[in-house]
Amino acid sequence: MGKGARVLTGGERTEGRGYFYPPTVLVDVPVAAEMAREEIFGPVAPLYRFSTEDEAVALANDTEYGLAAYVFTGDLKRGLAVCGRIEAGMIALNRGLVSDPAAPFGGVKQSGLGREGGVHGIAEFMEPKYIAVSF
Amino acid sequence: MDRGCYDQTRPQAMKRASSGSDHEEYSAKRYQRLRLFALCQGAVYWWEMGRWWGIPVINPATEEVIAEVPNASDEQAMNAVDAAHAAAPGWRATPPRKRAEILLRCHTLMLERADELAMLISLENGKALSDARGEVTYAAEFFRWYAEEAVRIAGEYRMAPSGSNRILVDMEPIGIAVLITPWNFPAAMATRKIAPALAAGCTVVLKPASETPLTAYALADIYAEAGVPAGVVNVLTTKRAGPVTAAMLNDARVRKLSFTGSTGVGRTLLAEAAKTVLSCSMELGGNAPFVVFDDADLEAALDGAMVAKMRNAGEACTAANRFIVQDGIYDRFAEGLTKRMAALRVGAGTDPATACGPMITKKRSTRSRALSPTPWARAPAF
Repeated sequence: MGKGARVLTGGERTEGRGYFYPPTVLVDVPVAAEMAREEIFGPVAPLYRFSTEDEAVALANDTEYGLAAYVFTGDLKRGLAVCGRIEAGMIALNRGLVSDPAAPFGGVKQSGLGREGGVHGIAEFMEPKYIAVSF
Repeated sequence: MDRGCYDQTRPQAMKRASSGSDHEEYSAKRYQRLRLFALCQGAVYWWEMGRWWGIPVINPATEEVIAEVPNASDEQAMNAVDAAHAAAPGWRATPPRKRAEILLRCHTLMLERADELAMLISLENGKALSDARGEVTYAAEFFRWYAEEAVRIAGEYRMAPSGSNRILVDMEPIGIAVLITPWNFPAAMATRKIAPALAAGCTVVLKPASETPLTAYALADIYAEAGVPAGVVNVLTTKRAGPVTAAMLNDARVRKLSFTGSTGVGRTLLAEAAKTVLSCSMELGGNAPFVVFDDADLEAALDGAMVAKMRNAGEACTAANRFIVQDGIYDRFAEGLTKRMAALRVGAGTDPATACGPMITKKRSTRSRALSPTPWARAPAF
């Protein structure tokens, strides 16, 4: 986790049977840490710090992935502007859940190709056939 | 409906330690009530021939083997493609309204059996029952949504700009689709692909993750009961994912690959699919930022953080991976998040009191420990 990072809770694998890992919070994680670039896929929450909006956007986009993102702000105008600048296929603004069968699920950059769900999902399984008709 | 190719033989090796609490006994009982079989002509063979069984399914909370599923060969994968090919003309010609009605029945049956399915998901994946129930509802909704979409597939008919002819555009089903799904949402990742494919008029071969195949087989049971004809949905499990998948992708009758999994495996599959210029839909890895500005509602941000991070114990491609927090709210956010995270009860997903279940494999749980000073491990493939 690199220099300077601190564990506020969790951090040690649970002993005994079963593949358990405790919910973990890490603060002051350097942005250059390996874990900032890799998908954690576990109950570990690393916190990074920013001062300006530009800095936040730059940090958010500093990854080869672009699947989901989350933005929390009381200023809807700023929220939508930041959503516009974040490179992701799906963004949750002031909420923690983005998945919905009625909406297009998918990513940009190296997070994927195409969309599932919504009106877009069925198009992935169809091909247009064009017929030029004279009569 | 012709169900001649379905075998209802129960899987072997459904042994569980008899010790344990009431809820464990309850889980085992519910689990054994499920009829598991594959919706594939080849499958009859697999179920009958014990020697083809070869993939143990492990409960990650107890490390016990709870079932064994067939380990399909290349040849058997071709049988599945044969079945999808044979069923294709009939399904394609099935009126959209009828396809929609069948999909709607899949939705209804999934919800009727939500508790049973949730328990199965929790047993093989480890996730908390509340998460598993949420997944069943989410997964079933794809059937309802695409039942509604199936009858609204539209084309085009217009005059060419030159005035010399009409332009007619018809939307056709793309053809046989190979669907490859991960272990983190055993039900939803399957239905998110199967429902639109069936709505469009395609037949499919599903290869679920070998860690969590039981939900896929249990859902296949539901599809059959809902009226999905034989051969329209074919489920196969294999330990040799690479060669078996390659064999299917290189078959000229297969026209589509839809994959959900890691970016690494996605790249490999795209390279394989390039050989036959296959249409690909890829849902790959993520590294979601969770940005909190000073002016955010702190409680709402913490509520959101817990959902974005802890749904599925963090095992989601949409999971918040980097909390990017502004100076002025940083300490309060860290304190609030720590309080909430520390309060989560860790345990077997099948225990109703559990909020955070186990990781899917030992590698995963030790990988979380690799957070400590060692370099961050590369994300293992699905």
